[in-house]
Amino acid sequence: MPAAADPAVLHRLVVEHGDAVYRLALSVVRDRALAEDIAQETMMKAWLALPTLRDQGSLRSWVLRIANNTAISTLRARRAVAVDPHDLPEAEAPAERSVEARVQSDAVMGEFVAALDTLDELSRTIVVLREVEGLSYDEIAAVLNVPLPTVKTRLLRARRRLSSTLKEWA
Amino acid sequence: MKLRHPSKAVLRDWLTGEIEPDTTDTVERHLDTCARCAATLEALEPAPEVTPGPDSSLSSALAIVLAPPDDLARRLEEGVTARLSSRQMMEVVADLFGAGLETTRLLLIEGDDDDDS
Repeated sequence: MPAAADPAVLHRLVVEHGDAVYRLALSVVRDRALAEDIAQETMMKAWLALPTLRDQGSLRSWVLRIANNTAISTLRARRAVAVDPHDLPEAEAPAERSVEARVQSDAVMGEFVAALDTLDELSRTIVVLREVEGLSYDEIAAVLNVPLPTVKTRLLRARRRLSSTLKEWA
Repeated sequence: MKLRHPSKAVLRDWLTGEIEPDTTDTVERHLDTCARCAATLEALEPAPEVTPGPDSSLSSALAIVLAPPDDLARRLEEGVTARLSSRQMMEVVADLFGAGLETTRLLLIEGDDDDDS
C-alpha cells in the first residue's frame, strides 16, 4: 500500500463523500451494482491521488468530477461492448430495490421514476447535483465540464418534468 | 453552420418533451452555448399548467429513489482495499515476469478459473 494512502484518509473520504458519489453514479448508469462498482473505483482513485490535490477546499467537487468521469467511461465501455440492447444498464425492476419497493406501491413515485428514466444522463446528473447535493450552478458546470447555460436549461427541463409527477405527492 | 434561435414555442415544447428527437438535438446544441435562449427559457418557466411543487418534494423524491445501501461506507472501504491489494499483487507479478498488467490480469483470472474447476 503506498505510504501516502492512509487508511484513515480513505475512511474519511468514504464517510464524507461516499453517498454523494454513489448517487451521482446511479444517476448516470441507473444500475445499483454498477453504481457501487463505480463508487469503489472513484474512491480508490481519489484516495491515491489526494496528495496531488492542491486546493483541499475543492475536495467535494474534485471527488464528484472523478466520479462523473468514471461513470461516463464505464457507460461508454458498456455501450461499445454490448451488442444486445438488453445488456445495457437500465433502470432496475422495482422489486430489486429494497427502499424503492416500499415507495413503488405509490403510483406517484412510479411515475416519478419513469420520468427520471426518460431524462438523458446529463440532465439526471445535473438535477441530482443541484437538488440533492446542493451544488451551485457554477460548481455543477465545473464538475461536469459543461457550459453554464447547459446547466441552467437542463435543470429547468428536468425540474419541470419531474415536479409535474409530484403534484399529488404529499 | 450557426444555428438560429429557436422560437418560444419550440423552447416550450423542448421543456415539456413534446418535440421530435432530431429537433431536440438541434435545440440542445444551441442551448449549450446560447445565454440569450437560456434566459428566454427562464422567462417561460413556470408555465401555469405545470407549476412545479416545492423543491423539497423533488429533493425528497430523488433522495428516496437514489438512496444508497445502509452499509455503503463499509462496503466501499473493503472494496477499495481489496482492489488495491489485487492491483499491487499484479504489479509484483508483472514486474517478476516482465509481462504487461493486462496480460498478468488475464493469467491470474485463468488461474482462478482452473482452481474452481
